[in-house]
Amino acid sequence: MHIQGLYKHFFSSGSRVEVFRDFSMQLPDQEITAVLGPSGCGKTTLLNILAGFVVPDSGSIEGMPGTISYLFQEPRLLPWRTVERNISIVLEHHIADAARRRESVDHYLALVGLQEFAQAYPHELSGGMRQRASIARAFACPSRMLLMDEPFQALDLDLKISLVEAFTSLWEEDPKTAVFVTHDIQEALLVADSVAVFSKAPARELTRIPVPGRRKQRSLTDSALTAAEQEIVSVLLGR
Amino acid sequence: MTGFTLSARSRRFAVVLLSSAALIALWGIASLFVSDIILPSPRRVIGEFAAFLSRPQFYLALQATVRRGIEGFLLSLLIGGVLGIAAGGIPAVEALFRPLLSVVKATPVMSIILLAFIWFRSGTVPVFAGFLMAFPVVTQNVMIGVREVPNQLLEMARIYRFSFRQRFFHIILPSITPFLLSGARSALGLTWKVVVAAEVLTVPRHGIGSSMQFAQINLDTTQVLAWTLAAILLSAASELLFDLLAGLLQPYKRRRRLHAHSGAV
Repeated sequence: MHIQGLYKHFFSSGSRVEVFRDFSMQLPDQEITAVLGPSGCGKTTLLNILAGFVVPDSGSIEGMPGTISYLFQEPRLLPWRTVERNISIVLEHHIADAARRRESVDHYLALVGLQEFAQAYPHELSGGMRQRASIARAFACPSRMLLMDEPFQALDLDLKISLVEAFTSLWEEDPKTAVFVTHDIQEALLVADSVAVFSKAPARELTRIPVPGRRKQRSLTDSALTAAEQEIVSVLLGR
Repeated sequence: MTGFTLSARSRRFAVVLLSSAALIALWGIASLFVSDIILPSPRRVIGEFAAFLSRPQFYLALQATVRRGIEGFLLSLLIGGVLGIAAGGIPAVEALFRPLLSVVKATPVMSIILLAFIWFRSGTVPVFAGFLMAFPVVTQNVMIGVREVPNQLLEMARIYRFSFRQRFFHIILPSITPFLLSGARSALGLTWKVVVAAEVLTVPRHGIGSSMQFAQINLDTTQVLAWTLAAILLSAASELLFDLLAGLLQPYKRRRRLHAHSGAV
């Protein structure tokens, strides 16, 4: 996927803020591209443009698929529907047969370890379990693109690691072209194929660092990953 | 030290019981000093009410009032609900109906009843007045409910391409349900009062208000109070009905115990 010549500005308390000025970016198919950068640099605006929530002033996005999935910071489940219903609603357009829809929901709930909670309402689950359900929903939807806005953020470390593992195994089963916005370098290194570092607004891609090693075998103590981490930090700090 | 403790809920219930008893006792004491025409004793009023229960006349009146109340209420639910959804979703609709709603809300009940009596037959007046007084309450609540529909969920619905039908039944309707319920609850409470008032003024053949009016003409204060008791009980019964309905319509609000498994986080 290719983003080219993107322009977008906002007015914030009376003054004009240029978020993108002739911005271009390459998103390799079926790879996870993490986006790091200072806050306010346009990471979330990029997701909002790709999602269609925000219309750019100009620019083109080539190869944008029709169906997308989105992992938000919050799970965004319907509080009045069971976990199972939350996922099957998304499938109604794609799978007409109710029995096959059910099978698909069961499959994804099993993959995130929630099969026993299919009939629970979101408020009956813990925060981590709710985010698992939203990951199951994102993958159950047969989309070719996945947008991620810090979905592992609001959790403590061991929850985060187990959630990242659940995410990774789902993604390996069905690789979608993904944009992963985060401000956690280690998270980016565990999940992504490459890390794009953005400048302050107007955003530019300062560098793109490929993440070494097979996703499932990565460890944060690995010397290859620590070297990549050093590099990212030095770019972020402008040294 | 006493050896037992009460839960907060039963303590509250005990207080309500005690204050009700105190109120009735006060009424009883006051009634000792004046004639029955001014204030009959609680025992006499309750006795009169008990006697109602074996009279077919009572059930005719009750039935007529309940029918009028329900007709007016359903009208205000339907029209108020549709208007509330439209006004909550479309600012122009809200601007269009705002003056009407303000005028209706500020108009004295009695003006509406008197005007309605010029326009309609006596049996229709309570329905019309009840509807007119209650529908702004429904509209107001539903309008706020529509505005409180979580934007985060609407964004999610856009991503996953919810159809209009899916958006309405899975997001908008469930999120306005609590507002609709509380609006409908106040609307029905108001409807009973307005219907009885309209019956008092227009005196249709049957009705709690009509019976109250006859009793008042005869200076039968005991009967006036016994009919008042009937109206109060009607109101309380409809509140109870709404409590039940709220539980039925919102099963997700019930607290359930899950056999939590430590495996999943």
